[in-house]
Parts: sequence; structure tokens; C-alpha cells
Amino acid sequence: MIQKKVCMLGATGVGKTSLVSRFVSSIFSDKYMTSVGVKVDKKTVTVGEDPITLVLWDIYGEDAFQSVRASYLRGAAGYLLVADGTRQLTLDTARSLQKTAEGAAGRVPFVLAMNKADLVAEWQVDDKALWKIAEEGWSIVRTSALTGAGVEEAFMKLTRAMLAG
Amino acid sequence: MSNAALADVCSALEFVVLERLDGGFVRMGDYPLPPWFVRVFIQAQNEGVTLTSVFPVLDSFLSDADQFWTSVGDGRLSSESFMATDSRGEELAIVATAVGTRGRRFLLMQPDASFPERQRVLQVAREQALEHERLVKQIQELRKPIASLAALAADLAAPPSAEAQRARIERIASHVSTLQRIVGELPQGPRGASLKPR
Repeated sequence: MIQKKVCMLGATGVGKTSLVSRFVSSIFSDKYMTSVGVKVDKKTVTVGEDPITLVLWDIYGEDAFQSVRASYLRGAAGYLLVADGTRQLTLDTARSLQKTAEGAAGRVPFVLAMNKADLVAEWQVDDKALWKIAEEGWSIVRTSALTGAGVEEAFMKLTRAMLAG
Repeated sequence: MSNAALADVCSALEFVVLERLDGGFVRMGDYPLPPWFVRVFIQAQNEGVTLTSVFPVLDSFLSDADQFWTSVGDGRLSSESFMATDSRGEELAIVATAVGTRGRRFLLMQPDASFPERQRVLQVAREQALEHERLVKQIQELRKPIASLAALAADLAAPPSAEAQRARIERIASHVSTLQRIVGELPQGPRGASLKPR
């Protein structure tokens, strides 16, 4: 069976672990529990008739207290950048992490998950900013780990891009 | 220290000591394997898995370790914590250390004893950082209607027509309502401390 290593990257508190939990176990907890180490989960998806196992590396968030080690990205077939639409700064962190990821894993596919779509009234990131990013060739999906909206789409979009690459 | 005493120490520290050879790893010492390793690896091994498939993060760490053993030789290199799930479905934090000595390469693994404390400290630190971000955002929102009210106050200095006066009153009411909403949403701060001026 085909296996693909996928890294979850983003600032602290954007919802990386919640997205993995929603995608793998269909579970959401609204209690914020920070990630400190690295946790690996697996989920098998089907593209066409082919089963593909996604090996999801949930890496702690990038912030003043912890920096993501580039070595975790080695061998990644793709990565999901996660930003929180209610926090503009997390988009800046996602941009910075994208550069780190490209340096470590090369030009592999990635998708930007703009998370917390359920709080869209509180978003600091507007459509204009997202259009600008999309024009740079980034693939963007609005997600909500709370409702599940866009979560499957984000991971499947990345999977299809990895298979095409 | 006798080999038996050394084995007891490794056992008490819940260490697993493996030697890196060209063909893979061999276990060092004949002391009983620590229960955590049995639950995470040995019981999973029955399903035909390898060390790096049970501990995928080791795959990344061993690349660094191999480089370390080749370039530095003697000394040690530690991994960050990584999570493993045992046969009971419980998660535990593991830390790996690559040790080089006298041309031999060892890999030590043990539960990360400092993990719970680090998790607790980082949880508090990050909650505070997120709270700080929220406050900055609210202050920025507060400034918008205040700036508009200041502009209106300057405007009021000029004699208005009745229609302009009505429009001003509506705008002022709208800004006051926005301010009231923002002030109402202000957090009370950690442990119930009031953020209102004393």
C-alpha cells in the first residue's frame, strides 16, 4: 500500500491537532490542550480505487517557546499549513513555515487550511488577502475542526496533489 | 559497578539500550525490558512491525543521529519528545538519545520524565500569549470608534443644519453602541481579576 508522510505545520493554537483528530477520529474537543512533542497518526483514504495511507505528523506549534525542527520535514510528501482566520499573525507564521518546509522537504505539494471557519464573523484575514495568496499558486481551503467543514476536502486535495506530483 | 547493578540502574530508569549495527539494532543488557516498551513495541511487534514503524519519529531522529555518529563520534544527541500509544491505548512521551563511545553507536530510549511539567508550563505560557493577542485585538477595535468620535467632536464645532445634526446623532449613537459592545466583551482577566481601572 502507498504511504505518504504529511506534516501539519502552523502557529500555536491554530487547530492542527484538532484537524487531525477530526479527520482521523471524527472527534472535536473545545478544550485547548497545547502540543509539546510530535505525534504521528495514520489514516487510510481512497483515491479512485487506490488506498493510500496518510502518515500524519502533528508537530507542535511554532511560537516564541518552540521552533519547528526542519528535520521533521525530511521525507514529507506534502504538508498542511494551518492558519487561524481570526488571528492575522498566524498567516504570517504560515508563510514563514512554508519557506522552512520548502527548504527541508523541497517543492512538495501543500495546502493552506484557513481554520476556524465557524468564527468567520471574527476573522481578521479577509478575502482580498486570501485572493492575493491564491494568486501566488497556493491552494487554500477554509476549514472548521469544530463543525468538520472543509476538513476532508483539505486532506483529500493534498492527497490528490501528492499523487499527481 | 557490576553488570547486574548496571542492569538494575537501567531497569529503574526504564531505559531501553540498543546498539546500532549495520544490519539494524541489537538490544544491550539482559535485564527485563521496561513495561512501557513491552506495551508499545513488543506487543505491536507481534503484528510484524519495525522500530521505526512503531516510533515513526525515530526515522527522522536516526538521520540526525547517523550524521552525529559519523561527524562527531563520541558524545550524545537527544531527540525532542515524541508521543507513542501503547497496547492499552494510552499515550506516553518518549525521548531518544544517541550515544557514541569508543566507535560504538548506542540508542537509548526512555519515557520523558520532564514532559508533564513542560506540558504544564507551555500550556500556561501559550494560554497567556493567546490572551495577550486577544487583548491587543480588542484594543485595536476600541481605537476605531474612539477615532471616529474624535472626528465627530471636531465636526460638531461647526454650526449644523437640522438634517446634518440628525445624521451626527445617529452616528454618535452607533459608535457608542459599538463601544458598549466591545467593553462588554472585555475579559475579566485571569483568576477573575478585573481589568477596569482602579
